[in-house]
Amino acid sequence: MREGPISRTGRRSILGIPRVLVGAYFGVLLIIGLASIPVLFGTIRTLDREQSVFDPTSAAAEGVLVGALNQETGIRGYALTGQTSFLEPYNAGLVQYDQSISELDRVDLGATFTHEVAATSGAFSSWQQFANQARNEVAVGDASAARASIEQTRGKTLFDKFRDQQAELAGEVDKQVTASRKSLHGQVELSVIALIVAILVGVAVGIGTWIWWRLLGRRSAIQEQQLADSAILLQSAIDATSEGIFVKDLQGRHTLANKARASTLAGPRTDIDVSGRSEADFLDPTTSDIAIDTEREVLRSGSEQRFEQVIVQHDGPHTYSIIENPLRDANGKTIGIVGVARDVTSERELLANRDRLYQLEHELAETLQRGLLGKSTVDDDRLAAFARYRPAIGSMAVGGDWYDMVPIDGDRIALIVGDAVGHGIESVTAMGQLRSALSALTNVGFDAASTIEALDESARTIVGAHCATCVLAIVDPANERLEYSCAGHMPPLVVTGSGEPLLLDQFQDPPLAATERSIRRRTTSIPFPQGSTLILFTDGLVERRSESIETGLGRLREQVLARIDEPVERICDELMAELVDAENQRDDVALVVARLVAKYGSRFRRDVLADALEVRRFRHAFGDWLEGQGLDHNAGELLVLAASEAVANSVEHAYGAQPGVTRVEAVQNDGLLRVTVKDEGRWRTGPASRWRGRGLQLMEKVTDKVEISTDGPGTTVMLELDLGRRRTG
Amino acid sequence: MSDSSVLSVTIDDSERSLSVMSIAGEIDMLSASELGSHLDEVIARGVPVVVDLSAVSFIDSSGLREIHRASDLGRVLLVVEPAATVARVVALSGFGEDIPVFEDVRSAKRRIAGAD
Repeated sequence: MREGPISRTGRRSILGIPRVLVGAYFGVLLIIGLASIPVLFGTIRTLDREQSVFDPTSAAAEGVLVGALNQETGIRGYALTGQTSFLEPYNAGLVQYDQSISELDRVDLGATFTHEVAATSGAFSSWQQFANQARNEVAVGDASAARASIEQTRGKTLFDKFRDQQAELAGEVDKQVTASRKSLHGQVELSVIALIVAILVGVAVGIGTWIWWRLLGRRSAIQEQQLADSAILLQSAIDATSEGIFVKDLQGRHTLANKARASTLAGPRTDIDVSGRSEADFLDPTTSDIAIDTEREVLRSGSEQRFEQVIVQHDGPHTYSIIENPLRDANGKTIGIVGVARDVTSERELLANRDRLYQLEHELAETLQRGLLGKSTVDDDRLAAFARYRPAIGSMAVGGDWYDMVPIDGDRIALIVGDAVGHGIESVTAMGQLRSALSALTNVGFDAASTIEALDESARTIVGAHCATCVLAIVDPANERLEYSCAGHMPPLVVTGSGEPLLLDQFQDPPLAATERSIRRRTTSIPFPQGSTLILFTDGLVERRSESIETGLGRLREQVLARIDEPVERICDELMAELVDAENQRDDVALVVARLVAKYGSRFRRDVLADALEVRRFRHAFGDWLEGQGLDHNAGELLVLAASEAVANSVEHAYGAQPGVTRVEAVQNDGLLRVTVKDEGRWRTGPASRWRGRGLQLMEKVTDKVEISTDGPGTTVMLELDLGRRRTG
Repeated sequence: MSDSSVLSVTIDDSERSLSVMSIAGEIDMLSASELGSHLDEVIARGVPVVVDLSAVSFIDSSGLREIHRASDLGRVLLVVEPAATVARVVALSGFGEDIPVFEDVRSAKRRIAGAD
């Protein structure tokens, strides 16, 4: 978006001043002019009023004198001549006087004036009384008396008094008129001066305003130029970056956007201006809704928000990682949103490709790993041994851990757990070679230390075997001993008669191919009586992030102790399940659990002749054999009873009086003792003899399982006892 | 234990109100009938019999059968060594309700005296 600097001296102005302002100014002048009209009219009205009041008043005052003079002249003529024609001016004077005096009565020009009018009227009344007397004297023919009355000093005096009084009245009227005229003059002068001053002030204010405005306008123009320059600078700067930069107002409309963002939104067409438009004007509703929601969140929380936007460009969909922040003015008030959009499309593709490659390698390594690991159990009835391997979760950590179980000369069994450093194909291959080498070496018949020394030699030629660790344990069931040699590996854990898990960590030699030259290694040999359990493992079993190895080993010990009486395979599975954090397993795990289950010759087999003494002899022999199986004494005797009941039943009822053989076999395998009693006759149970029933009942009560099968030519009774629950100790 | 060993049975008739029969050895198919005839003999006195199994090292269903048969004929009280396997077998055989079981002869005798 780019916009030129806004000019204030544009079309909407007159002489550089906005038309509105000019209009307002003249408006004010007009109002002043209009306001002065009533003032003028008021003045004129006052003048009119003066004219209408003072002129008649002056005239009336004059009228009073003229009326009086006419009366005086009339009376005097009448008295002198006795001619009634002189009464005409008298009567006319009387009318004029009365009119004038009543006019004066109506006028209110202050107390003095009213007093003067009354005094004049009073004075004339006095004269009139005298004049009336004179007229009456004339009427009765006494003209001389009348003349005398008028000529007399008294009549003259009265008239002169009246005249003086009238003169005073006229003076008062003149005084009033003069005063009024004077004040009217003052008023008119004041109005004119006020009008002139108002016009002068208006013009002065107009000129002042105009000058001030021009000065301000010039300063603004400079500022605008500077602003425009910095806007261009800003625009050029943000246009130069490949990341989209934009600013939006509180309504989400763009107020600024660089080229990168504008072309992302509006396409490569440069004529489309994004300013004033929101995302909704360019993007599909789903995409723009997310943007709008994020904008609201930025404004609401006042904190940074991130989101991703997929926008289809001419070369396909692009993913943009957008960071938006509130835009604040100098007072800290939020006035909009400022955002940066980064095109992460190729970055994402690279990541996805990398993940795919890692996944591929992971799968390949895991397949290889599984292929290279041997059987997960060992075929030997003296040693119950099971192994488990679990690869790490995630793409990085596959391979390197291994286990192996190798019988040596049919006498002893070698148990191995190892860990080649690193992960992936290389470490899996190294592991495979180490495993093969060790497997071959154990068969030579060396002791554990010599075997590892030989392996150490081989490891120096194997790529990726540097610093691999392993532990080799050789179990000798006949002599009930265990020897081991540990090459930098997690120490073996053993549980012997005491039942306490013991970590064999005293003798630890360096890892394979870790030293410059081959070194002498140590073999440790310990008693390993029947029933003892050996656990070999890699660090993945006990190591967890943010936890010391001691904590992990402690947990292993606890878990082993909790389930030591269980069959070996179950222990193996449960340790894996309990100790390995399935959600967050960062390393692969190899685990071997082995238990020496019985002495050499752990099978019992005897053919019992159908004879009570033979049954007793069998019982004693079986009791002796059971002594060696690790049962507690009481459980042993009860099992002897159960077996004896089964044999007695065969002897007594399968053959009756005929001689026959009952074969008894017993075998212990991984904590489970199984006795089979087999004859050629038929088994009898049921109500025929309740005590035969009691024999069966006893068998069921003292063993864990009784099975009677009559499928073959005779009857087979199978008894099972789980030694785990009845072990000595 | 020798193959040829038979039951060792001691019968104490010194008290008028009861008999005490002490047995040692193994009670199985081989010796059960011998136990049976001894029991018959003692029961015939018509007084309660305390059968002391404390010294018996083995008893099977044939021995238990003989004791139960005798208890049908007269009153039988058993004495067993509580820690011994025989005590477990007697308890498991489930005739504790029919035949009272005691830890020693004195307790059994006291029961007979109390019952009288």
